[in-house]
Amino acid sequence: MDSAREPVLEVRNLRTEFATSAGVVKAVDDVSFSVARGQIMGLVGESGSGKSMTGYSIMGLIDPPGRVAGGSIRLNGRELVGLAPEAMRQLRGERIAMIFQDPMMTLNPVLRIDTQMMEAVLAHHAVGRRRAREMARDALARVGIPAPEERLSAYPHQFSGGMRQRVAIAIALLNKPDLIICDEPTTALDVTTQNQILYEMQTLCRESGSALVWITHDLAVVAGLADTVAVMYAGQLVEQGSVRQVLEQPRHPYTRALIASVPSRNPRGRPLAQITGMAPSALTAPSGCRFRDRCPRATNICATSPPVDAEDGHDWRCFHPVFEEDR
Amino acid sequence: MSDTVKGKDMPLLELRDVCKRFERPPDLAERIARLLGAPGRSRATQAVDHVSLAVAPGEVLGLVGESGSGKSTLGRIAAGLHAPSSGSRWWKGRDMDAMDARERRRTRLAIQMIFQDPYASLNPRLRVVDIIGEAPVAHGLVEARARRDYVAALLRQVGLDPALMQRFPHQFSGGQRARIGIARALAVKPEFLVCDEAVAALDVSIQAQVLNLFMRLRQELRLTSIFISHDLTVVRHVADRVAIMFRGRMVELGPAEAVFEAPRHPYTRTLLAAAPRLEVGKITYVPAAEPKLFDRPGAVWTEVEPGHYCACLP
Repeated sequence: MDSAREPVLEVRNLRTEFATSAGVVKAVDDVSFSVARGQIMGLVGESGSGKSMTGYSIMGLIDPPGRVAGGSIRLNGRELVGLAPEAMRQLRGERIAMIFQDPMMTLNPVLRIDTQMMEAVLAHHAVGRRRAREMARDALARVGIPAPEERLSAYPHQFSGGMRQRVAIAIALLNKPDLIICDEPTTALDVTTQNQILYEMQTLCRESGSALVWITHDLAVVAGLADTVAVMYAGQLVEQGSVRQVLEQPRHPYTRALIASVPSRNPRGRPLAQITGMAPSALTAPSGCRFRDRCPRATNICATSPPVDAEDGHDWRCFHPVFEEDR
Repeated sequence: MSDTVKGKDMPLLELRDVCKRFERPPDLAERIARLLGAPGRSRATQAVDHVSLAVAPGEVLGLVGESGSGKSTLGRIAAGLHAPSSGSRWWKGRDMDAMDARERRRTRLAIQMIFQDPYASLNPRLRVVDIIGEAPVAHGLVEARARRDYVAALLRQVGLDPALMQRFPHQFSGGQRARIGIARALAVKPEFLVCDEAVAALDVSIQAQVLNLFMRLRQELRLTSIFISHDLTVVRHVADRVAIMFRGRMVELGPAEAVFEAPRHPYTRTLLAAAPRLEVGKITYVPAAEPKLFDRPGAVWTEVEPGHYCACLP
């Protein structure tokens, strides 16, 4: 990781809360990380861990009863928390873009692709319709859609699932944003299609210098794609560092257990190493360390908030981190 | 294409040369066009195209393929939820089409299916005790008054608290629902399970728990199964043999170890190369699974090594 590079995105002590009848749910609690130009960060967690809410918070897409209750989100040094809705709307689609698991979250089913793509260009640039159409065509070509000129006049339903996701990616790339947030965009796709999209995204991100936050539950996807990884559990970041640090020398017992439970890390046909119990929601998580009631290393001290320790840009939130010598 | 397990017991379930075609009925515009004398277009999809498969007692057969490969359709034919358009199903050496009604009903009970979606596959208006207890009572396996105890025992077997049997499906997490789906399938004392993407919707840590449950039950109840999944690492872990499907055809079949370590068919190789691995490193670009690369006209089903078959060009 090149620490000298200016971060495109800098998130500090982010807190996102939801007011519910059962009390205030801290969906994102004290989350800090940064992503540099051309860098890909994998944001990993199980369902309910707050990984998507972190993405939505950055995009300014948290609606009441939810709110960003504290912390700071800086894009190229500019503070996004508390930005007026109109200013945020100008940034979205221009400087930051989001790609969802379901491309139909992005695409309007009753409009042709060219209409939708040109709209995204014309909303942010003072260019003519002809130029906008050219930009749309080039974006389709960039994400590997064959015959982009003809495909521009097609409707979303005329594309396969993988192609539709490529169109959504092309729209996100249209204005060459500084930051792209991807929320499990390949989870519903076949492995061969997923492989191509991962490869293309990695290449595009390196070429354009866009920073990428890739939200996923799949550690294997992150292993090949990302430069850095942040692991979330019950609303908090429990560990982050370079892919190599986190996947090869996990310090937090949760990260370790998660990696150990993957079938390919277990002898064929033998019982898998499993984490007992289930991941808590932010509402039911215990105080202190949120993983403590499922953790084999937990002691009494874990009932208090664990400190964040760091070493070579690798940090973890744990009283009893795992080091080589205790294995 | 034939696949008989040589030198072993008689297969528990055998599919011989099964095909499944789905035909879409013509819509209004087409019916009008036909009335006016326009030639009708065929709207059939060949979901399963001449597949033969034999599953030996106690075996777990992994069925792998991408969307549209026909793996779910083949699983549904095996479970009796679809009738094949042609070909036959054999249970313990008996042609199921030649069975009388009683025998056919017994066979149907012996083959159960576990579905992917733990949300859509449980009736939201029934309590767990009814979801699990209805079928065994209806089929006379359990007396109505013994139902609660029977359901309690099943819930314990799949790792759920029997006190939860009065609850509705929405009160459970995804992993718990997957367990309820397994308990429901086990309730009629099946010998054979068809698991269609049974763990695909679950988180990694919950997936490990359910896979462990599946492997334990397999041992305890000596279950035979077809395990359908798009996730190669999961199939590699649980299956004894693996069948790879592509566009309705079986392209490779063999012991899991052999297929994963030394795949013979180019499509199997593509699939294995494209699957993300939990190893730090660059993504290698794998060209698209273009049908023209893998649809090999004239390919012959060949035994490339004992028990390992591949659709090979002669």
